[in-house]
Amino acid sequence: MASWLPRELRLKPCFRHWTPYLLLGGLWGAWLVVHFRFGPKVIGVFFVGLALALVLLHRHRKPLLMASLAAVILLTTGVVDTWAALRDSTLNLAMDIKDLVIVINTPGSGLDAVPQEARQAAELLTEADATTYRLSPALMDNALFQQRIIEITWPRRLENTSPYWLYLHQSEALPAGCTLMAQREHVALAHCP
Amino acid sequence: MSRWHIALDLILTMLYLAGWALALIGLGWVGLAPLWRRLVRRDGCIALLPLLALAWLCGLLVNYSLVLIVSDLRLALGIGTALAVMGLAHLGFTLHRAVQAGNLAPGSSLTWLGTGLMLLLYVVPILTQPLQAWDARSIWFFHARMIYVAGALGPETGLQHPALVFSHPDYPNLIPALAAQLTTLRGFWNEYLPKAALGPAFLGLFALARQRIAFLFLLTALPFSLGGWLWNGYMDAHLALYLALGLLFIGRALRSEDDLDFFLGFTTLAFLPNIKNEGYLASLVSLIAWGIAAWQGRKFGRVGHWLEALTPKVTWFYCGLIALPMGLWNVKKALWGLNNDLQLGSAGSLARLLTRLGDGSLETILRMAYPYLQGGILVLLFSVTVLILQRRALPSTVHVALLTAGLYLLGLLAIYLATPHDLNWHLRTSISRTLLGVNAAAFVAGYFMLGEIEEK
Repeated sequence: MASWLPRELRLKPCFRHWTPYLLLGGLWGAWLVVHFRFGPKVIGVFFVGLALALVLLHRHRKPLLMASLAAVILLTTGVVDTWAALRDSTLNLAMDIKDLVIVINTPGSGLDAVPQEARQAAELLTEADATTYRLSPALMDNALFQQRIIEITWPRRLENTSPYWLYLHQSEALPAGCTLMAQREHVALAHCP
Repeated sequence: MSRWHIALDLILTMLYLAGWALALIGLGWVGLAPLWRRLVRRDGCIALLPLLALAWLCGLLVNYSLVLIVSDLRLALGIGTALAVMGLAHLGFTLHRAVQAGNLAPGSSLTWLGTGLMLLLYVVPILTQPLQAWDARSIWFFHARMIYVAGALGPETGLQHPALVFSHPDYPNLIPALAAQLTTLRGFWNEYLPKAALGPAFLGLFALARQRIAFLFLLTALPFSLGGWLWNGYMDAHLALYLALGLLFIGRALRSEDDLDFFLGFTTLAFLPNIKNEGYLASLVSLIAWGIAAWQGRKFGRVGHWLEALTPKVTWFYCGLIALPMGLWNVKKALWGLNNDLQLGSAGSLARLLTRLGDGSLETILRMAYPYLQGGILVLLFSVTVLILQRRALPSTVHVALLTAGLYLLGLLAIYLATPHDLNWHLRTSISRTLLGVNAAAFVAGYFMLGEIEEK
């Protein structure tokens, strides 16, 4: 009996019967304390109820364990959302396989995911054949614009000494001494010697 | 484009990707060939699926080593192709002999069907959604594009450029290098094709397939709980999946004492640091947990078995081979002066850790971490409940996974406590994905407990 307990924890026979239940009470009690502190209380009560059912309905322990684990997976892990996303992407593919085959085999496809500002900056630098550039404060301070421009214009590099100045012409002025080279809807390129 | 043209393009793309997978298996077999006799199971049969999973993992590591050694992508591709052809020829010959001798266990058709379906299910969002997620664009596939543009993973790649601090240039480049090779061979870059490098490790997962409820639980909980992180271009879910696989193989090795499982576990752990920096921690804590479990089993002669498995020179050669890319990348990082922004191990990080231990930061971390941990905790609690009610001890296979989950969590907590960034920002932007590995390890422990309960 209770051979799984260390020798020093093996109790007198009258207590042996209750040892697993005390241990379980301690484990679930500790979890409940933590859960009540950090998680939704209803979920906590629900799972403790399931654990109690596991203890009481010993004849149906295995199916109840499976049901409990299924409840844990469904309620706490986002498995349902993953499945829905996978189903949707498969259905979309089935309906639009032609487009996928085209985009996957087209150089440069998929840049729609990048903000317009970054794409326009890349176009302007390509047209000017610039190998380096600088970013205006508005572009530099916006992490999304800054990182996407650096990323999609690579191997053109952001350099403090570059004469090419990218800026948001709707909200920023052309710096003194610079000449406007070209502009798109949001971004303009100036030459600042 | 005509329908025929599109169908042809689709077939060619699939063949291209299948060719890549096959080449990686061949390349991996070059590293495994010297010890292939030790990959035969104790019952004398050669299990095909685990063998291919091992070869594929080893192939990814050898391929990354080649890129790191020769730097030039095209040269690495040339050498890799030649080696892969030799490896595939030897593998084909080995399998042919095994078929003739009647000791090849190809695995059930249901297992292969499951592997294929899961791969297909995940390949669809990987290939149909362009690179959009922040880290995917700013880090992993930006590095891939830099390697592709430079045609090399060397100083000319430009990782040392001061404007790229946001891109964490010190991060390992196994997946970026593979994505760059995929696009180099194809001849162009776009925002879809490089993501094929994310092909998840379902071959390894199905290598554990059993017609049991425990496996069904694993199959449901493990990949599906990782959500969109498996296909959006982040590495965290891949790290969690490979960590789980490593623990599953180690657990099986502890029970079966088969060298194939031992090598699968070892290779998967060596793979982790090449995915993401957290992989160093995951790998280290798994090795510690493995060591402790082996030590616990010393009464049953298990330590002797492991020492025996490690004795031959060929094992050391193999261990060196799979540890090579990690070592090479660290040397290159040091040479190029690439440092990690977290400054772990510095006096400053220790001071921050000690300060935050006393200022309520731990409570903040636990509060934000708990929602992502409760699934794993509950799986463990329910499984332990049944084991206790049945008056049964935790199997030794569980010890490794459980200890890994605990130590990995402690390590991550320490990293958050020592972060030089604003703690709330750091937690908000990363905790939902960094804890995937802890949950995955807990699910593995749950799987082993369920297996134990089911066997009774």
